[in-house]
Amino acid sequence: MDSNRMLVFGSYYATDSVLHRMDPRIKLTIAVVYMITAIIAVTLQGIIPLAVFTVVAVSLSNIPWRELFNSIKPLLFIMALAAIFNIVATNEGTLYWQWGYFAISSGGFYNALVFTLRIGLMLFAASLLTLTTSPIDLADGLAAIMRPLTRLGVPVQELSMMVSIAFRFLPTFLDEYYKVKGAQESRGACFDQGGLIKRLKLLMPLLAPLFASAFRHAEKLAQAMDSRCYRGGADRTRLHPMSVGRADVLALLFTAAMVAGLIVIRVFW
Amino acid sequence: MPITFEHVSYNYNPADAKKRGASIPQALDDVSLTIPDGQFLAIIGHTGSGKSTLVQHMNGLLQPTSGRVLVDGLDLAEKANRRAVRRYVGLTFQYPEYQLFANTVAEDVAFGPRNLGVDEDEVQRRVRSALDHLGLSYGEVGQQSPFELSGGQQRRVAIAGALAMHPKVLVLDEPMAGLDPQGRIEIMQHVHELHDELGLTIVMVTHSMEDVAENAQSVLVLNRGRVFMHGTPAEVFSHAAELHDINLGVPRATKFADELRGRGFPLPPDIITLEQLADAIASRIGPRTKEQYLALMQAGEADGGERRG
Ligand SMILES: Nc1ncnc2c1ncn2[C@@H]1O[C@H](COP(=O)(O)OP(=O)(O)OP(=O)(O)O)[C@@H](O)[C@H]1O
Ligand SMILES: [Mg+2]
Repeated sequence: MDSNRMLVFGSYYATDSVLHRMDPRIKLTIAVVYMITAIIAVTLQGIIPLAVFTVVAVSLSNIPWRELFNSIKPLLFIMALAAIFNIVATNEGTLYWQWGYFAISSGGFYNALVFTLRIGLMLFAASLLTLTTSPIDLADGLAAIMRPLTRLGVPVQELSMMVSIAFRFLPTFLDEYYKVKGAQESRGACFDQGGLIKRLKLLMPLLAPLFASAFRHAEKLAQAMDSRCYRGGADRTRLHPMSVGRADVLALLFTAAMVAGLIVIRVFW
Repeated sequence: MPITFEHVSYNYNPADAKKRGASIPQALDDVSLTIPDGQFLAIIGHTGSGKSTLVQHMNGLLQPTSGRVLVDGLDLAEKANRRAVRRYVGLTFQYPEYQLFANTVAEDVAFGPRNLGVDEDEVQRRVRSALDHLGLSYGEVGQQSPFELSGGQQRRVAIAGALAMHPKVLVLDEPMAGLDPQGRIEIMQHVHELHDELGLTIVMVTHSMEDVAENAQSVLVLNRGRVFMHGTPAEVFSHAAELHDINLGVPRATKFADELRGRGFPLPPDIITLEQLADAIASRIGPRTKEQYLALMQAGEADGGERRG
């Protein structure tokens, strides 16, 4: 894939590590616990267990820090905005400057620091989840967790199948998009210049072949699934059953330790 | 419009290459070549050898990771040059029928010339003549939806779309892939005519050694992104063993001639087409009656070389 195409799928980083091999259900659970912990940790000390957990997880993931930073780069802007908001909207501790509702105080800097760190860590965690879990595993894990909803009439199996198929075909469509674009460019189309009308007119040569190919793929896939007797909903088993291993148990224990650490800090510090 | 490649290398994912070192081959690796005006060049190579990647450099759809591509002396690294060159280098992808989009065949073929800003009368003239050159009648298919046509017809509409730009070079990536034998023959014939009658430079990627032998003036053999051989079809196909090593064959005529030689039947070298093979055998054996043959066979002299005609 082209380097500029990679951005779209920068989310999964294919390599081998304990984290990659973990059960997606456990990873999702831990991610949720982590998020809640990060919300509860409102002091600088409270962030310590989160930070320790994150550093350990990242070092176990075989993913370079640079990659992790790159993945959250687009969100830095929002973090900066939030930090500024925290600074000017807090009035605690020593007051340096005030103008109406706006105040710059030592408390504001403290809040901004804690807030930015928490958001940053949360983004790291979310990013680590998608970097170490393929979209298909993620969808399957999510489906497994939501399984009980089947009893309420939610077609979890079918939904998860649909999501998996969509993920499966994303790269295919991306590939086809570039092919169609190249083919029309070969016929003198310029997609990166001209006014709005001209660009809108060029959507048709781009989209029509893509839709045609989507239908082609859908039809072929339906036939292929049919001829293998696919039946939605019927309690389907997996080729690679998800199983909770030693690493998963250790990860859960480690997560519990993090939560316990936070509670101890909040109570005694 | 000569096309020149100077030490062109291409990597689909440069970051990846750095990360994993040189263990994965580049899609193109130090390719240098010149395609003179009016040449019919065939590009062959095992699947994944870089043929499609190479041809997409010819009108600047892809740009080299290192090295240069020059068309008529213009460096395609410059955006303005790429735009100028697309008018003269028509290119169709593998399975080009999947890029048809318009409501009618005529509209689809007109897309290229309209993008060039050609006036409407001229557009219509070009559409007719382009369809005509590919053996499609404007009256019959012009107003039909391209999606209603057969695969072979769609393929020809797509090529007509490139031809309507009035290019000087036509680059075709596997124009016959997936067609029935009759469809293949027809397309090959039309391409051949475009070369002979319009004097277009043709660059054709193909897996059919027979098509190469019968049409190409020059053959480029790619292997793992590198130029493995480059010469006339006769030269290239005289290296059957080397070609075999990289999973390529030689034309059936060449193979058959080799088999005959292996059985002691002397034949001149460089036989690559059926016609040459038939000529060579006929001139070896000469006209004989059935009785003469039978007598020869009985005498155990299958080698007809000694007593001609
Ligand atoms: N869009 C892409 N992203 C990443 N790698 C690619 C891409 N397209 C091709 N490649 C890789 O580049 C190499 C050359 O591919 P290319 O399509 O040029 O081969 P080809 O000779 O045309 O093969 P075929 O006969 O199958 O059409 C292959 O190893 C292929 O996997
Ligand atoms: Mg190809």
